[in-house]
Amino acid sequence: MSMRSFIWNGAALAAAALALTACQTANQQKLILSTKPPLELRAMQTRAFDTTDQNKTMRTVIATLQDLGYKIDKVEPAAGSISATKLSALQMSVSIYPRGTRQLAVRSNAQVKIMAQQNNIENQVDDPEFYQKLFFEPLSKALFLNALLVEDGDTAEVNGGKPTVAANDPQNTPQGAPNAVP
Amino acid sequence: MAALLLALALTACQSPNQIAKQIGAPSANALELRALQARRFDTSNSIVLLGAATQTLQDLGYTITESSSEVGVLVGTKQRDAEETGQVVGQIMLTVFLAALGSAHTPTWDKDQSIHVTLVVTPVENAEQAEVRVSFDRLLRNNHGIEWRAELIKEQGIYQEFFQKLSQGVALEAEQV
Repeated sequence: MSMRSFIWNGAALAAAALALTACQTANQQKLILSTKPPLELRAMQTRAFDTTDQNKTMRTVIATLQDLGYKIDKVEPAAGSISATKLSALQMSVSIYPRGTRQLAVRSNAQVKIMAQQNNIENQVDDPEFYQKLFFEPLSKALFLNALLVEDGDTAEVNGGKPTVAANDPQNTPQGAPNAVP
Repeated sequence: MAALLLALALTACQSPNQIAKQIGAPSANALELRALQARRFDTSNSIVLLGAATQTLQDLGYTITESSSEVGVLVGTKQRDAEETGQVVGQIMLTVFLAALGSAHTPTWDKDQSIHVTLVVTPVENAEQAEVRVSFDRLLRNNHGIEWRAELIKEQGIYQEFFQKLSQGVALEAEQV
């Protein structure tokens, strides 16, 4: 191999290497999902409300998110889905869907973005307190309806109209609590 | 300006859940903020308000990124320069000063910003009125191209200017909520 072609090959290799590293280092997005069981996650992320008014519920979810300082990214009224971001770091997606014939279920899923050495790492939020205190409680107040816990495979827990349901810790409110009516 | 600041690079000793709870917490002066952001208009026609709001935002240089008249939502964004001479000079002087002391410092300042606006129109029950709530926030990038600061905009002037323009657009008076 002549000296000249050796240099050319070397330059081509270096350029290729540069192009490759440029691709690799540019803001990688990583998502770290929760390691909690899916049922537990679903329970902390979902509440049922005694209403069938999808439009009003959707509007109230949007108003609640705005009140909490979120910016709305996408809304799809027909599908009942909303996505919002707070301070470019906390993402929330909410879906509203019928539960039986007399209720609507609201499910929210949050991810928090953390910068680590110029890479954004998204972490799924899996703390029941976050969903309860920083989403369902304000939503429940704005809807003037109780946020009812949803247990898998059964009908919603109905709590004799007491406004305190929303304040209960989801983990401490087992199905069939003393004031629950079947 | 009592802005809610957020360093995007938060300390590693906090768990993601803790960080989420910090960011997700409502702002301490939520009521004041609401008073700043919400106005009522004497019309039950949300579509007219949304149309006027779209034009107002376009006049202010925003690009509409999302809208849904069914639920009264309008979202827009714009890019703006965020460089301030004072901040740049300060950072360069600090770099020179620290270099003289034998320490390296990378001068960092606000370079540009994206401003986001979320506008929600809600019919007021049992009244021929509609409430408009608008919120602005911004994301600042520094001179190294890194997103480093996000904050809710709380300057009264920005909200007043918006509602003044919107009132003119719909030819209706904006009433304090």
